[in-house]
Amino acid sequence: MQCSPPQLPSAAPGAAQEEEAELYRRFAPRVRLYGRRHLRDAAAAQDLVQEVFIVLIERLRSGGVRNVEAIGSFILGTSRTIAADVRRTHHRRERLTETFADRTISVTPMERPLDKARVENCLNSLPPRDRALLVLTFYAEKKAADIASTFEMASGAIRVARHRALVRLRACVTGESSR
Amino acid sequence: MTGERCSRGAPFGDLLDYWADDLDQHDAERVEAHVFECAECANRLADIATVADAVADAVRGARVQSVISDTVLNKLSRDGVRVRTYAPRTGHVHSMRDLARRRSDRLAAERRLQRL
Repeated sequence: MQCSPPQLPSAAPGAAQEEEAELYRRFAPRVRLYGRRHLRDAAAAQDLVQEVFIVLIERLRSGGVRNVEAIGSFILGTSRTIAADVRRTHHRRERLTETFADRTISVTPMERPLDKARVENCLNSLPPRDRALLVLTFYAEKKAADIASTFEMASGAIRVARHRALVRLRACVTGESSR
Repeated sequence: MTGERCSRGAPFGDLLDYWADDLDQHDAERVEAHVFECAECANRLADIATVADAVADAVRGARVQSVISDTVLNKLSRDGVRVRTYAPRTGHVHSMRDLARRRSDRLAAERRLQRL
């Protein structure tokens, strides 16, 4: 897959809409991932996507984005700025939610659904250490340095082992041979 | 790390370290900037996030057989999962087969109760 730069929306209204949709298709998943990584909440990440694209489309339509090569960097910068605001709002909302016990269910689009049963089978078929590494990383959200003390291994060795464990799991889930 | 890289030369291993919050701020920002320029790495990062979600779901649903640390137990409790712990009496030894049979008996009893 190549990393070709996106096109700026042109002056024709129909074409501009299509190009805005293309920008959304390309960059919304990245903004969502950025949001999930920094806000640690799928609904807040989805809010971030909406807000970033409102700013982006307004800027595009007003001719405020001149350098098409830097559109990714513009979107990242906007994501960073808005995420800082969302983080503050989100913390405030979490405090209110805890106070009033409002457990609102929100639906957030999945990036790519996986066959859950297959993931579970593959996970259970991994060597015990690989499985524990993935559980501690993805469920307990432990950093390599924390896991290193549990396994009495160096932090760098944990990162390598974790990467290999993920490659094995991914290969099993997708049916590819692990590299 | 392993040698796999994207067509622009960025190591895929960095993406997992980024997602696991194991990079310092400078490196994390470098990876972010790259992901916003490279569709290949954006797709690979989305794959990592999807697998991470699936692993977390499987653990939350108690469908993973793994050695569980206190950290994981505490998080399961915070997530509202009912956790039972058994402390063997001093001097007693329980085989894993016994523990598995007891668990299976308990689950069968719970299922019978649910049917009533």
